[in-house]
Amino acid sequence: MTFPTITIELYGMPRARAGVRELVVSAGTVGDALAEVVANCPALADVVSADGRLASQYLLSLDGKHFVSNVLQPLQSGDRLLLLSSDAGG
Amino acid sequence: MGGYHGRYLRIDLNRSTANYVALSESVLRRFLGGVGLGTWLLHHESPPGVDPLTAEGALVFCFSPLVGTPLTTSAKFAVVAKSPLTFRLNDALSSSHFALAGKRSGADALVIVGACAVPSVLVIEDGTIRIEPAGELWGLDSDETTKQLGERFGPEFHSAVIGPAGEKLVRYATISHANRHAGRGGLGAVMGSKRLKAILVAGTQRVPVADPTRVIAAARDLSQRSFGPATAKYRELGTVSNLLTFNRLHALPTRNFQQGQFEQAENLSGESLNAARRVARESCASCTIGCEHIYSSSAGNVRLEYESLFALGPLCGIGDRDIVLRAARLCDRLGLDTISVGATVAFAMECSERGLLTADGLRFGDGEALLSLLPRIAHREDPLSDLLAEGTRRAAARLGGDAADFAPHVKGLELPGYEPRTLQTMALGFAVGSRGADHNRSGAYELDFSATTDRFHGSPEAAALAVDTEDRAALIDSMILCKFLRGVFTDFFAESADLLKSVTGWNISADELQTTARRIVTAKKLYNVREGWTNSEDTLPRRFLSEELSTGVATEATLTRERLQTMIDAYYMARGWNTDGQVSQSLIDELQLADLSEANQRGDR
Repeated sequence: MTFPTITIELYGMPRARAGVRELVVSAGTVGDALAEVVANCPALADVVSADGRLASQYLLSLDGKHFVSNVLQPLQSGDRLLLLSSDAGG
Repeated sequence: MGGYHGRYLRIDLNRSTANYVALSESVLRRFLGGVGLGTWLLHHESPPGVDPLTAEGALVFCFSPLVGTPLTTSAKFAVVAKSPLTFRLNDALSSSHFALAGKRSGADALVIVGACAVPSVLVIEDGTIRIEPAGELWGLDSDETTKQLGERFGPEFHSAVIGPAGEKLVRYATISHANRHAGRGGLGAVMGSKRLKAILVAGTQRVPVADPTRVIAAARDLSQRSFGPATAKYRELGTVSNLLTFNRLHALPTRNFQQGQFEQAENLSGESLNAARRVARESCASCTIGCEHIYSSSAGNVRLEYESLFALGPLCGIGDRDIVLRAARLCDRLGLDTISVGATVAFAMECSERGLLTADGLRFGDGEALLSLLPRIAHREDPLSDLLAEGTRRAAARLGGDAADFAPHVKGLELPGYEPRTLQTMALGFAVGSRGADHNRSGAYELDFSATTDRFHGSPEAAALAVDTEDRAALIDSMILCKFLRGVFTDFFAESADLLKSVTGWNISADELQTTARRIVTAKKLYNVREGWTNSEDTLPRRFLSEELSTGVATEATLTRERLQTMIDAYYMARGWNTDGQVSQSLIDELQLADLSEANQRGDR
């Protein structure tokens, strides 16, 4: 099975910890994409919580339009997934 | 009752007198401390209709039941007065040793009325006061003033000072303590109008807590949680990390809110600043988070937060990192609110480009012009800087034409760094805020940064959620704890009730605290109503309701007057206010606010 190719952009704490601006990965769902983040960036091993969801200190936005929290959400080729720190305040 | 002295110190500068005034347990339990108690005191101590820059206006410093306990981030104080910028209630928070020493001076709050005949410092030690001439300090910046006061009074005393901006009654001047600022709404000008260069506090009067064992256990637990993932962003990068994220989301106000993205954002990003310029990380007294990131500049080391970075950078079209750092440093020393001064300069840049203002060719992106303007504004040196020292609302009124359409303020307070067209729940928070456009009293942006709402199409369904963020802010600002701690709580109201029970001994519940928060928000509203508020103030400048952003996904965002009004109507309903935003007598009774209403009718003090 071939998964679509998507790009994960990293901002804030995720970028600082991973030391990269973006990752290009194959992922069929948001959950697959998070698994790729963990595999490629050990410093972001805490991005997935024990129950398999996105950990609360992170946010995901799909193409900068919608925030997504469902790890089963399917992705399409060319999607850009933004991985952000969750607290916007300050 | 643990955690309280049960009194405030009322200082009359006209008479050089001070006396304790009792605070009943009923008042303290209903308003807690900080912003809540400060609001109650302002109702009673500030005459209706007062010009806040006259001697009659009251300036309130409020501590809290948690100050002096080992609970992390609890060394905080609120400053409350009628704002010279908005002529509405203004509350601003700051932190560290002034809170600890101030409470040890023997009171839960300091209420300052009247004015000194000459520039002076007010010294408060264990409930006694003395007023000393300070002519030699007048004109000095905040750093130098603090340094000289330290040498003169010694380490037991801690000071809150104003810079030249406060002396010159710049309407967005700050009050500074240890380079932290009670920043918004011009409280430094209120202090300057009383000819107070500084307030120094010291004392030995500690307040016992009801259950020391439980307080220590809670402090350990809270400190441990404060080291966890919920505060990692503040420790690792600080708030400056917002900039690049907001830019990607078309939520970074740029060139006086004409765009939502800045082409030089990468250069100013928190990520690049931390990599290239960070030299230290610091924290307030009694804090285990340590959110303050210090950066190097050609003018020395600078503490920088997102709001200063956005306002002195993208909002003015400036992408030079060193210029922004130097500008932030200047603002700290001069005592200027970085958000308001950045927004006012950005507004002037647009006015100049449009030919509404003659300002030596002032243009977006002119960093040297920004650096030149800041001290001139603080000293009101010339007609242009004198105009800008008044803030965007007054400047627009004087300039005429269509300047008011793009003057970026609500109720006179300049907008912080959240683009309301692409963060439309925050647009509601800005419109209805009691102190004006405000990201610290409404956390509505949290909903925009979630899967809960459509941030491009605000809806009335979000209003109740926005109310909840205001209520949480009202409680945390009255207890007082740092908002950066908010993510560590799993049940904020219940855990807050446990903390307050340990400190005060009150058998207090989460439900009671939710009512307390509603009461405090409505008490602020009642103050504003007393000062002339009408629902016509709850809106946004015309730009946000008539001009669309022109790039990328932001073109999908439309914020019309009708859409905003629908959200405001839903907000009033969720608050239990009337359809015109007024507060009914039945709600006043339900929230136990009758004493404020009666004080207002009597015109207390």
